[in-house]
Amino acid sequence: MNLLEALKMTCKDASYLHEKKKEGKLSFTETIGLRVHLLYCSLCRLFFKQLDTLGEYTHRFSQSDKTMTPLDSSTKERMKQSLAEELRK
Amino acid sequence: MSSPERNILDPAQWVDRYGDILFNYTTSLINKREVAEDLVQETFFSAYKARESFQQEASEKTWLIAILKRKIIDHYRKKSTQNELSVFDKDSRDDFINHFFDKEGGYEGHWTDIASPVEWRKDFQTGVESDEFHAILKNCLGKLPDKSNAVFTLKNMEDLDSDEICKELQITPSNYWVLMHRAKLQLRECLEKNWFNK
Repeated sequence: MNLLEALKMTCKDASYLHEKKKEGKLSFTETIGLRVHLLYCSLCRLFFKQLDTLGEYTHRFSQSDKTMTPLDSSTKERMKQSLAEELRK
Repeated sequence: MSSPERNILDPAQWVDRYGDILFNYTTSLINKREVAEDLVQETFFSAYKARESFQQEASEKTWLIAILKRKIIDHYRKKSTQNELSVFDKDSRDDFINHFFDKEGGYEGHWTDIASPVEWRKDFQTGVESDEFHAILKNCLGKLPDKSNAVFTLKNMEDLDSDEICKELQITPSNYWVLMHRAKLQLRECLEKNWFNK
């Protein structure tokens, strides 16, 4: 992407750069282009803001034990049996 | 019970002691219950076969989780090679992108009316700690194509960096950005419909 292309960045291009920006991997022209785009595009500003929020929630979700799903007791029995067979070998 | 200075493996107790922990860990990364059960079972088998390599300084639990992680990444990788064609099939990708962005005319590349982001309801943060939100999040993640799900989950929930993910899943950086873009577009839309603006 050259500078002229970067300045004509579309919403499609801008949204694609969200992850690159988060990982600090934007090139110089991408940085300029994105900054300009976000200056005038409220939809993409909203997209960026919402995705930052989602990133936080998904991360928090992965750290919590709230969704603890135990194994069925029947599955556990089955696992124990096949493991026991393996141990006898 | 194992003591910190000398850890001994006790395979006969594994299912009772670690079955739920391993299963829960797996289901946070893989939505299909049967697949998760299989991976846990395979973890026990592989661990038993590799018992000689167990270092006594490590805890049994940490060791089993390390083996499980390997299994999960292998699973993702297998999935991603199986679906290579369909995910990168040009037409299907265009269909996907055309849902979100106008494809021609003066608005080329602009958000489409149906898919453009809208402000979430004022109290959208209420309840994001609830089981209900977590269930919806899980459900939306489950609807992502396998490969997009894999990159998104490994990045956001497993804290791997993009280089590691590319290496593990054997994809190029540009594929990685494309997959991540798709995951984000789709996940945001799904959560907006089912939670943030419901």
